[in-house]
Amino acid sequence: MTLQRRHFIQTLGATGILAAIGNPIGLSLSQAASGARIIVVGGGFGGTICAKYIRKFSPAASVTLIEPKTTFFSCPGSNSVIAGLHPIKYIRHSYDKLGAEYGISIIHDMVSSIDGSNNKITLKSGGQHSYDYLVLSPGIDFRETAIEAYNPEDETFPHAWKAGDQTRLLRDQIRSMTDGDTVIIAPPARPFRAPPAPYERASLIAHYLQENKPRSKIIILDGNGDFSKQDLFTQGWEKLYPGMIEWIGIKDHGGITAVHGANREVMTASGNHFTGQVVNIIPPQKAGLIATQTGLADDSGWCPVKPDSFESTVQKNIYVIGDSCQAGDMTKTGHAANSQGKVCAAAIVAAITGRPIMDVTYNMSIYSLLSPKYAISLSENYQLTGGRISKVSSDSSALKAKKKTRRKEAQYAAGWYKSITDDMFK
Amino acid sequence: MKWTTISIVTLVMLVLLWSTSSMAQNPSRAELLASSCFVCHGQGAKGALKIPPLNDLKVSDIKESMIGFKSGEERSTIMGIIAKEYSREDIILLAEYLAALPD
Repeated sequence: MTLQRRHFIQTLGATGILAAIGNPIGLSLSQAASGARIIVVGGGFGGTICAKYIRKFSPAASVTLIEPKTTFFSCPGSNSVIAGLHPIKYIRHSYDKLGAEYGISIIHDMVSSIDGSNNKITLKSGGQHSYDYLVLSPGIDFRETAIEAYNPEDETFPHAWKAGDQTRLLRDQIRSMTDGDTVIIAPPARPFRAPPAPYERASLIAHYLQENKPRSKIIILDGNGDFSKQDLFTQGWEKLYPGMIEWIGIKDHGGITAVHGANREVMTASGNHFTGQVVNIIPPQKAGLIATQTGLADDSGWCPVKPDSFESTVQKNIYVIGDSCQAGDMTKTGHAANSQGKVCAAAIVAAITGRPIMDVTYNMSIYSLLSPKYAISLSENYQLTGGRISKVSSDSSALKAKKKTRRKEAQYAAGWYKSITDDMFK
Repeated sequence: MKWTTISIVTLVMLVLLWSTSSMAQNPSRAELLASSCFVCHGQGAKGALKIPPLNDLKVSDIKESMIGFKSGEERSTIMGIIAKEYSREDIILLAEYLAALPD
C-alpha cells in the first residue's frame, strides 16, 4: 500500500510536472523518476530478493522477474522433506505476492539469449525485452563429469540438488528401501551449493532410517578430504546415530570413476565397488546455463563480479548474484544469495540515482539439522578488503554446547526458514 | 503573469529537488543494514516462531543487546558472531531504525 502511494507521488511529482512544463533545468529524470527498466532472471534466493528490494528502495523502477517455473521449491528445507519430516508443500512457494504487492512483472519463461551490447534479452517464447540493468541469479548448472555411464538426469541416481521433482524422487526411493539396505551419498569436490547440506542430508536420512529401517546404513563417498562443520557433525552422528553413518574421504577411495545403473553400483579409483539401494550422486557444479552461455563465467566455471555491486567484470550493466557468482570468500548458500541480492539492489539504485555505493558488512548463516530437535549453525561475516569480499570473522556452534542449545538452534532454524522465505515471497 | 510563471517554476524546481533528494537517499544506510535482520527476525522484524521480534524493543534495549553480543557479555547462539563486525555508529542506526518499525 505505502509502496504504491510513494510510487504514485514520485512519478507524478517528477515526470508529471516535467511533462507538463518541459524540463527547465536540464535534468535527465527519465531514468531516475519514471523508472529504470530492470530485468531479473531467476526467481530463487537471490533473484526474488533483488527484484523486491529494488522496488522497495526505488518504487519508480520498473522491475521484471523472469523465471520458468510457476512454483518455487526451496533447497533449504528439502532434506527434511526427503526424510519425511515435512510434506513437500513445506518448501513450495508462490510468486503471486511479488506481482500483486510489490508491482513486479513476472514472466514465466526461459531466457534463450542475452545481447549485452544492445541491452536486450530474447525469451524462449520469442519475445524480446530491453533493459537498463540486468540481474542474473540462475543458480547452478551441473558440470560434465568424468564418471562413466553417469547422467544427472538418470533417475536411478537422483541428485536432489535442485528441489522439486528430484526431492520427491529421492524421498520415495528412501521410503521404498527395505531394512538393512544401504544409502550412498556422494558430494562433489568444493565449491558447490550449500557445503554443509550433504551432511545434513545424511543426518536426516539416518533419523528416518533409525525410526523405520534401523538396520540400514549410510555411506558418504566424499569428493573432499574434509567437510563443513565436520567435528560438529561427527560428534552429533556418534550421539544420535552410532555406527550408522560411515564417511569415506577422497583419499580413501580416490574418486568415483563409473556407475552401473542395473545394480546401483558405484566404482571408485581405488578399485572398490559400493552398492546401495539408494545412490544419491551430487554432481559437480558451475554457474547457471544462461550466465555461461552469455560468456560471463571464467575458466573456474563461475562468474567474476565487482565485489561492491555484483556487476559482471565481463559485461557492463549485467549483474550476477547467488550461486553463479564468484563472491570472494562467500559460501554458496541461500542466505549469502539473499545478502547479495540486497547489496546488488542498493548498488543498482545507487547507479540509477548517481550516488556512491554503500560499503556494508555482508553476512550469512547456515543451519544444519541433525535431527528434528538437534541443529548446528555456521555464521560468517564478510567485508570489502583489498578489492575483494573477504571473510573477516566466522563461528559455528560450540562443540561443548548442551542439548538445550542444539534444540534451540533447531527452533531457530525453523524460524530462519520462515523468515528468509517470507523475505522472498511475502 | 510573470510572477505566476516564476513561482510555478520555483515550485517545480523545489518539487524536483525534493523528489530527487528523497530518492537519492534510498535506501538509507539504516534501511540496508536492517534488511539483514529480517532474514531471521521476520518481515518488519516482527519475529518468526521462536526467533524474537525486535520491532517492540526500545532503542536502548537493542543498542545494549548488540553491544553485549559484540563483547560476548550477553550470551547467544549466533548473535555474538553476527554483532561482531558492526561499528558503534551502525548499531545506533540499526537500533533507531528497528525500534521505529510499526508493531
